[in-house]
Amino acid sequence: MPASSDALATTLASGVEEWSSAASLVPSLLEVAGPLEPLLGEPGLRRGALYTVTASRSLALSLVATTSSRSWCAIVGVPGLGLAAAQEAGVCLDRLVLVPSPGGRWLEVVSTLVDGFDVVLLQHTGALTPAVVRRLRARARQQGTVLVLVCEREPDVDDAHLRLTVVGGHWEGIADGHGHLTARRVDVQVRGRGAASRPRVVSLWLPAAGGSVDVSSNDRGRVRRLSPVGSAAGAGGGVA
Amino acid sequence: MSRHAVLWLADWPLTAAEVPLDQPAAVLRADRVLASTVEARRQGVRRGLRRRQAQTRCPQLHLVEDDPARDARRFEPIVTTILDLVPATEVLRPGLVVSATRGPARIHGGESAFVDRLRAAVDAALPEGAPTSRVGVADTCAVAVIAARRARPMLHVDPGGDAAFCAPLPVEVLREMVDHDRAARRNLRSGATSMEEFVADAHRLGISTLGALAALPRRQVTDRFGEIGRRAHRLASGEDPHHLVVGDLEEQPCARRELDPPVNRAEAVAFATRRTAEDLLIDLSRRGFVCRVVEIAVETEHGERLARHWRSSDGFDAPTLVERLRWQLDGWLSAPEVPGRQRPTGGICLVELSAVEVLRGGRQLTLSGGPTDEERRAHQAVTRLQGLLGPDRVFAARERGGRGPAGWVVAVPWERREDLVSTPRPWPGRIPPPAPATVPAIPTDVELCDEDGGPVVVSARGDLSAPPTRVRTSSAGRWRGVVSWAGPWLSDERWWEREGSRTARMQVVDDRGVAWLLVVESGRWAMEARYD
Repeated sequence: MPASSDALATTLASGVEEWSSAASLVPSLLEVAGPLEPLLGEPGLRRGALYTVTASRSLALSLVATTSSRSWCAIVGVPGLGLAAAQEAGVCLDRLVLVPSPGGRWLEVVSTLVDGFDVVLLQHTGALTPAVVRRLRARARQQGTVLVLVCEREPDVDDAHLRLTVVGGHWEGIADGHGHLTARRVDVQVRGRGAASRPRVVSLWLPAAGGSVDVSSNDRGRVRRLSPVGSAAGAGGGVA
Repeated sequence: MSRHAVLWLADWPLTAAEVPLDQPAAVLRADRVLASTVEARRQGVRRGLRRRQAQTRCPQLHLVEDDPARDARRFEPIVTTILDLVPATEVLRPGLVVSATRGPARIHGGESAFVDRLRAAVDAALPEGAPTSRVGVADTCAVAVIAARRARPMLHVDPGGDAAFCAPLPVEVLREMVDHDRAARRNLRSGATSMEEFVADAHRLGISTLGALAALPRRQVTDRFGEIGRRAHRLASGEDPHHLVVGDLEEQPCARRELDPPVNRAEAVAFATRRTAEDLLIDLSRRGFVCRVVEIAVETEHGERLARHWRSSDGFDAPTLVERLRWQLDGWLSAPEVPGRQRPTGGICLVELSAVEVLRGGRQLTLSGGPTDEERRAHQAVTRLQGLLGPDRVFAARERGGRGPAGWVVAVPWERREDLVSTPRPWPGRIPPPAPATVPAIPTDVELCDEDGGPVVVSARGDLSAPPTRVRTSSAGRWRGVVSWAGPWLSDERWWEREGSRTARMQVVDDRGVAWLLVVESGRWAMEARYD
């Protein structure tokens, strides 16, 4: 399949940097659901990397769901997170630890979690100054931990490996007084560093009709119509 | 309710070692006395003494090294004898077996009659002078083990009387529940107090009997002592120390190893089967289970077959499972010629391992047994966080059930994560999936208006006054158009708490494509959840 071999090539090419770190002894990617691969451009979350997810908690949860069947996952902050949504997304509750209110010892808490867990989801707060982010990133890289920053609006974080922002969505199953929400088609804007810095937009079913996540059929016209945010309409590719 | 009979042969290592039982003799494990004859005990030899100390107390002491394989080999004919009477029998270890007694008791005319038959058959198979068998019968296997150790020579705990039987016993009996050879390995379990420490702590807190332990709220014991405390409390209350899940697995998980060419030596078969055992246990642990009773079946190239059930009280790890296989083979391959018994006439060509009973584990076993590195790391981090923030501020997520989105899955303090009992589904009136990803602790007030700018009202019968056209959170003040909507659904939730606490819910999608779950109570709308 061309898509996955491309992804493999990307991984090999850009993975050289990671080789020097201790984390290279273990698989350097944590598995994600197949439909999310076009979003990441590779078959998993990179150990030691920072991802930001803006305006969609369900996307953040879906990102970590597959790997949670094996990896331990922690969620810090994220007030009012719908835990039923986490379960529906496929997050394994047996390997999930929550610290909803870390209080004044935020940095200590997050550092401890980075040491102990494969995946840490944390809410973007004012405490996350660029210096703090750098420290966390260094620690995460050393431990091979994936950091997922959950944001309400686009954060000012420049050393994220990928920045994922939901820029538009359309719900199915609901009409004027009939039915109920069943599935949502979202457009996710992806921005990265280096070669990936050109933003692209990927369409997904999130959730798909039966739950979880699925690839949206490549209907470009529709994508454009649903992407009112100016910069987002640009690329449009990347869908399997 | 089930009934279990546990048959115990005291000092089995001595009997198996074929030492002269009327003279001072002892079996040593790791340089310490494991078992000793009556005569040796009379001269002051005690379990746990070092070799040197024992020899000082009793210079003519006959010493034999411990050999679990020998214990198993000599025990095999006894197991065969028992199986003739009760097919549902599991070996806990050489010298200790448990049988389900319901069926046999019916056949043999009652529990006591059955136990008499069982003891007579076993004692006839024992060598001259060996301590005769003792049998304890109780509802749970764990209590039956305790009863067997106190049997003279048999002890019946009344049906439903496990807790009452345990009540006057000292907490020290909990030590008997630990498989001694595995205790050290299990203590590695992150954060878990060992049973030894638990007993000591219980004494310090003034809890000296199992009855006193059972009288405490389980939650409190679990909070203070974690998993070990919970197990001890369940046992003291006459419950199985573990939550059992039988029937959760659709088919019996099983692993096979074919040997070509066939293999004659037990050790070689065991070695060849290590990976198979690991595969089976890892497959189970991925699904969150630990195997407590395993069936090991071996077959020779000429079609002779021997199947046995082995039980390990807290679940098998791969080395323990393979050890049981070795014991079983040792016993079979060296079995004496008995008329009517199938003996192996060729090499072993097939080994089948099936999980007969599984426990909800939640822990992953590694190849070498014990928790994975990831699990250990995670548990250490949790313990550190609990120290940093206090134990009440680190949570696990567990399914609870309920109608409102906040109740489906809830956060429970990490230490109490096993206590939550989920209410079985279905929940009538529950909003169908997907579940909202944001559920604020306190719903935000919103205004929901119709085309004329008037508030949308839900009648007592669930009718809308008019279709909603715009919505805003009261404070933020920016109106959003309503693109589509569904509901309202009436809910009589918590009607017993407050008069007229009748609520209705609606799903609304705004002009940005954001979907909200709105709830209305006494004419006031609030945003209960957001589908982001």
